[in-house]
Amino acid sequence: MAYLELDKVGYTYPNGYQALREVSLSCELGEAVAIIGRNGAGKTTMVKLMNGLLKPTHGRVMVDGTSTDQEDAAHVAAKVGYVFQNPDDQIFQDSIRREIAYGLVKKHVARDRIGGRVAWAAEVCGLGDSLDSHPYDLPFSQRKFVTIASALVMDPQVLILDEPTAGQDRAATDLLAGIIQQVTAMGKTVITISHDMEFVTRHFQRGIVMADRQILMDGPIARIFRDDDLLEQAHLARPYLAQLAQAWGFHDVLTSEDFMAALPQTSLLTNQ
Amino acid sequence: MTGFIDRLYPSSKAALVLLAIIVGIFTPGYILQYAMFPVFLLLAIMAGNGMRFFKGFLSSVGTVVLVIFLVQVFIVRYPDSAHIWAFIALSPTGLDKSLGITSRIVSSASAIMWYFQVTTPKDMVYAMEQAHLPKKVTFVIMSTIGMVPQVINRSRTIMDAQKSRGIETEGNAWARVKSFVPMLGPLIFSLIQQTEEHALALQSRAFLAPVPKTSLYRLDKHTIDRVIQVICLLLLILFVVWRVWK
Repeated sequence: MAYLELDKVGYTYPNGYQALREVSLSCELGEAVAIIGRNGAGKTTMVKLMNGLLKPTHGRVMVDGTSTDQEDAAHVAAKVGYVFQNPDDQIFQDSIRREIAYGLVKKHVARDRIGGRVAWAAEVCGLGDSLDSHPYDLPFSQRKFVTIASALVMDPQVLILDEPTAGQDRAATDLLAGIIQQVTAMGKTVITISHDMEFVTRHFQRGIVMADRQILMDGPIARIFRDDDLLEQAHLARPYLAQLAQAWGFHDVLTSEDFMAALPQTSLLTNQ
Repeated sequence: MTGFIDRLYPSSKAALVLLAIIVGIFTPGYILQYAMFPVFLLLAIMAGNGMRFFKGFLSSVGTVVLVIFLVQVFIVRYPDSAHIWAFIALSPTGLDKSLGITSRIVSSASAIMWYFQVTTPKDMVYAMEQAHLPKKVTFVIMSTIGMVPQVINRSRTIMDAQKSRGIETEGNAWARVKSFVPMLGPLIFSLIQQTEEHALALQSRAFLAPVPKTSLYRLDKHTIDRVIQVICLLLLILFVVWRVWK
């Protein structure tokens, strides 16, 4: 059995709105998974079900062999950390160090161990030099990294990032890619919701495409971006480079490496 | 019938509410005050809001009233307190006092709750603008009213954000209280931040421009509104005369 499993999971909000129809998927530890799809497709609802913030109205969500129905959100969250879209929903301490340490302090982790773990999480998230600053002295985009560090420090086996690329510059997206790489290398799973297709193609192998409150496809990123019907159905666009390459007649180009590999064979170059 | 109360001008409803509050507070006894609850419940039913009014009243005012009543009757000591058990005693003075206090809370709270349930913020803003209230006053009142559902929504999100990093927010009363503190910071901060952005957004749309505003929304004052307002005023004068020269 996989570490995280959704078995025919559906969710209907108390007001009657069905946010998720019936989805099934499983994630092994050490995977990096990107969830893509337009707004309202059910992405956030699905990840909230994964960490127990929402309980499925039908089907079941299993984390490490236990159904999330049987545990409260705080317990599931110890295994599946979830970083919210808006960091300001979470940050409340007066220094970054305390903010990151808060969850550990609450869990009564021994003081001498807290310092080391906080320093590690801050280092991974590029906050090593600003541990003593006030979180609100950082710009919004960097406050996002404070919340990532706060989730990471709790040592969850699965880390969910909800639109971490929104509003981030290139340096921050690179840092984010580094975090994902490092965390998966530790044998943990990272699940990321993103609208940044460049980011997704560059850093993920597995993608889950959602549309109209269900999963349309769960497979390799390269296959997803090759499927015209799927992209149209999910209202997704290929990365710009892939669009350009396609206009030139290459259908398997996603990254700049693919592009460079394809380029020398073009008539465009030989004509020069 | 449902439309009748909805179509009333906000100030007519306000006049009714004000009259009910003043009469409720200054009339001796408690029967009239308690009787105002079924009256407003009926008015809420007429506006198609009966269940919401009843439930809202019980869950908020009902609890407060019950606690005050019990404390006054059984716990606060008066010269005529008759000891029952441990710290519990029964006192006729306490009973009398608690009826006086709780009945006034019931009458005022029924009136105010009814008003806010049958009057949309849109109508209130329109009426305040038509009454030439300063724009800043209108804004402050409206943003305060609008804040309540906003605060509830925000606090849910913040609760979830705290839960998702393993902080218990469910369970016994103590766990809830402890989880409440980390919530206050982001809540207050974000509200202040939102207000600032809100103010900037309004200003960029010429909110304080010294010209009359055009309203696309219209709400007419009917004859029935004038009749209600005049009747309320007359009743108020009669009531004051009665209380002063009785």
